[in-house]
Amino acid sequence: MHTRWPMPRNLFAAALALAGALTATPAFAVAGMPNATPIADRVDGLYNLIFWITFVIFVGVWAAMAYVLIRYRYRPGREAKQFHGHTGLEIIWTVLPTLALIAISIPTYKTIRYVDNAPKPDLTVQVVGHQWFWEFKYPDNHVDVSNADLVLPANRVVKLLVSSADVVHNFGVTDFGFSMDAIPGHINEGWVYLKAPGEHQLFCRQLCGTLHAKMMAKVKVVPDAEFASWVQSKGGTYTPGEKSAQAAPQANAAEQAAPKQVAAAPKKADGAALYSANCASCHQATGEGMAGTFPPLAGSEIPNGPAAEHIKIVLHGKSGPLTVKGQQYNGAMPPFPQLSDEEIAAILTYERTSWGNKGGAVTPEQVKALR
Amino acid sequence: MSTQSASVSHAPETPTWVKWLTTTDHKKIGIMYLFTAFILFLMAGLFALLVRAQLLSPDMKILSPDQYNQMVTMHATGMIFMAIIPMLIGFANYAVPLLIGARDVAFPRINAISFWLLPLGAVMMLSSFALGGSAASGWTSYPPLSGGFFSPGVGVDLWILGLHLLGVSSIMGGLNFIVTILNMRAPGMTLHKMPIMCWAVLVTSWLQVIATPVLAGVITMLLFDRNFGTSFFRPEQGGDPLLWQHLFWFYSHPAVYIMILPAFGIISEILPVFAGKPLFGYLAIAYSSVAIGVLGFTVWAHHMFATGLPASIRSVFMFLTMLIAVPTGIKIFSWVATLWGGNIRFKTAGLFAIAFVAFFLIGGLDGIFLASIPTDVQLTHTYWVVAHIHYVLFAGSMIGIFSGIYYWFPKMFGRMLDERLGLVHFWLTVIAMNVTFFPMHILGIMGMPRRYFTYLPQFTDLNRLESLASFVLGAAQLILIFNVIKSLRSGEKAPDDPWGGNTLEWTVSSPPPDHNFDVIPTIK
Repeated sequence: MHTRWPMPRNLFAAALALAGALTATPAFAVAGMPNATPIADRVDGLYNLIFWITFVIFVGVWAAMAYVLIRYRYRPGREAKQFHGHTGLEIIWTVLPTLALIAISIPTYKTIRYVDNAPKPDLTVQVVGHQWFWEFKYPDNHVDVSNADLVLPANRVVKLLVSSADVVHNFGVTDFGFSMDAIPGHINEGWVYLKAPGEHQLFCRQLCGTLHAKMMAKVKVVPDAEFASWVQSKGGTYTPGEKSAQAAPQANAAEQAAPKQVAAAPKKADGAALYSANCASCHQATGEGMAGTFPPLAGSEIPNGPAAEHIKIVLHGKSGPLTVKGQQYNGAMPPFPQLSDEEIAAILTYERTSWGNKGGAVTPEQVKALR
Repeated sequence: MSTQSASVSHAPETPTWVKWLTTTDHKKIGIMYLFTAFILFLMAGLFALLVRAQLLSPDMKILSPDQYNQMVTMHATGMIFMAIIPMLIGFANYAVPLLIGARDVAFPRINAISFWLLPLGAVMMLSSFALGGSAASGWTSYPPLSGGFFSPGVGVDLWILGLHLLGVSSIMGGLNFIVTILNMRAPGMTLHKMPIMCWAVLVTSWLQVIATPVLAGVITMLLFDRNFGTSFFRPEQGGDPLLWQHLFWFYSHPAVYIMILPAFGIISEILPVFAGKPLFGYLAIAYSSVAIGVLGFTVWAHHMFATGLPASIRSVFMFLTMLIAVPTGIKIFSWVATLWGGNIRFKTAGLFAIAFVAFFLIGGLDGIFLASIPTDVQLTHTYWVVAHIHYVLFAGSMIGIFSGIYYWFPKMFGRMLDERLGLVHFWLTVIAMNVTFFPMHILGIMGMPRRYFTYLPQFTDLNRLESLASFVLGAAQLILIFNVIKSLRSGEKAPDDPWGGNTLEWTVSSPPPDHNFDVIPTIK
């Protein structure tokens, strides 16, 4: 029976210990990730609970297997024990996992309730996914930025309304402790309370086409006062310390005033800035596009051709085979109906007069006529 | 088979290749399934290696972004529909009639049609590479991205049509095996006496028959949206992209069990043989498969926890999902108990079966994090999910398939596989598999999204490690190919029962005669 081990017992034990330690690395990885919100704190706690329960099961099964494989390894002449089952044992290993699942379910359910019962928001941010950039709207503050950082105040309850203008995206900030799908035709509601100023990474996590992997943005969390001045720099208003209870009626009043404000300053639409926010992620700042994937604007047919064609593409999008500067393309550009006539005119004017293009200016009236 | 045909007539001998191409014999069809699906496995594996090569560093230029999305899409589609499912059906084809003491399946010609739809569907789908590019919207093909506007080429259309052919094959195969198992068991073989693999195939067949038509429906809706102006999934016309996700996952979650239950069956046959003991808890294992099959239809929305479904609905799906852990746990514990008290021989087939228990376990446990809603919405669409699915489908299904190859090869071809090469293949595969897939958990925790052709610098080290390990994993499969070719040519002759097996296939010659059994056995 007790012949020499084929592998030293210590070495085998060491290999198993190493496997166990490596398997425990996810718990340490989680501990190494910053938690920006109370939701993330709770999700971490839940993660750790599930981790250690599953880890115990894992180690238990592996220890049993290691024991069995050594103890009952082949020996000539040894009789294998012929048994078919053991009712008691089978009941135990049906009941114990069920108990473990209940142990997981209760704190899970508590966390779900915590996440689902959003506190009253101090601020609302609409997140809109586009191929391939994020747009952030602050409806109460009259701010709308695209292809830029998501700026949020610290220590405020922020309501997030996540949607998409084209395909399905996913708003995922690991440090927030959750992600939300951005689905066209749906508005997905969530909330964050950022514990401290800092910077976090936003990813699009749902495959959304060619530049899915480039659809990132930074989340900049700043103190109230800094947030107020940022809002102001974007032409909006934000009163630090303003609470939702007072904000609600004001927002209504502001909403009525808002369209007039925007209408009052339409000529100020900055073509270069709007281009960089809405168009540059594909057509690039240089207007060169990406060979074979995104057609160039610099020196190409459309910005040098009739304005009507150019306007239609921006208003209604373009999909399917296309030849630009002798090269074949077969992709899709989403429509941009969310941009105003003035903004589209400014972008087109910029495109048609930059990079040596000679297409000439476009007026908001021309855009309006084709909308 | 030569001794049989020689005595039949003086008519000119049908050439071997004609015999194979026109056969309705379940054994030949099973082998053709395995062969075709293994070729497609290598192809889909190559796609994965291209993906991994692109991810060696953030600035690799091996694939363009669009090519990368095509490879990601066709790797998953190929592995699921052209490799893993057909390989498992191949084993079912080869083994089930032998296991139940039948001379063939109930509908041998339908069986042949089911097989021939596989290469047809594969060619249909792969032809897209020559016609402007394959589908690139992921194997999940979520609209609107997969719709006509955002995917204007023919890639998605061919993906749909190819999937239709594979789906029809799957439905016909499922029906065939239900009828075969329910009607053609040898006298005396009650349902509770049939080999455990047959239970797994029976449940799988029901899943195929019930779930696949839903997939056929939903991809037809997408085909119509793309080509005939319908608006099932087009939000601007009042359609709903979420409808696709519900219907798609109503099929695709059971599809995971289509890919894992037969592997459970395979290793439940193999573990007892190499332990020298009966299977522990036969009825518990059989009925836990039934439970998994039934529960599998009630959990699809756990793939949609981040879509904004109401918490009440999500909670129901969460509890049902967690419930599946119980029958799965019963199986794991029963397999360990099967080894307990045995006299365990470490042959390659047995080692793969043991590795299945050890590593599929990880794919079961890391799935619990994805069942719990708060941890799921934190981890979903990240590399955690990629880790989970590969621990289920590689450490589970594929390892089970390898185990089956080493186990039944002597029966199929009358030659033994080389054990030494088998051991090298085993150790390289198991180690490289873990180095490839385990660090993906960490990347997922760090927040790296899946399906990214480039990534932030902090993800570089783990990605590089995974890529290098994946190349080893790919290369290790060449050893298996070499072993198969070498053994077919000059392998040691296999006896009728090289392993001391308990089931009926080991009572006949290796390879078995065309009609399997001279006298249909009677089970006491």
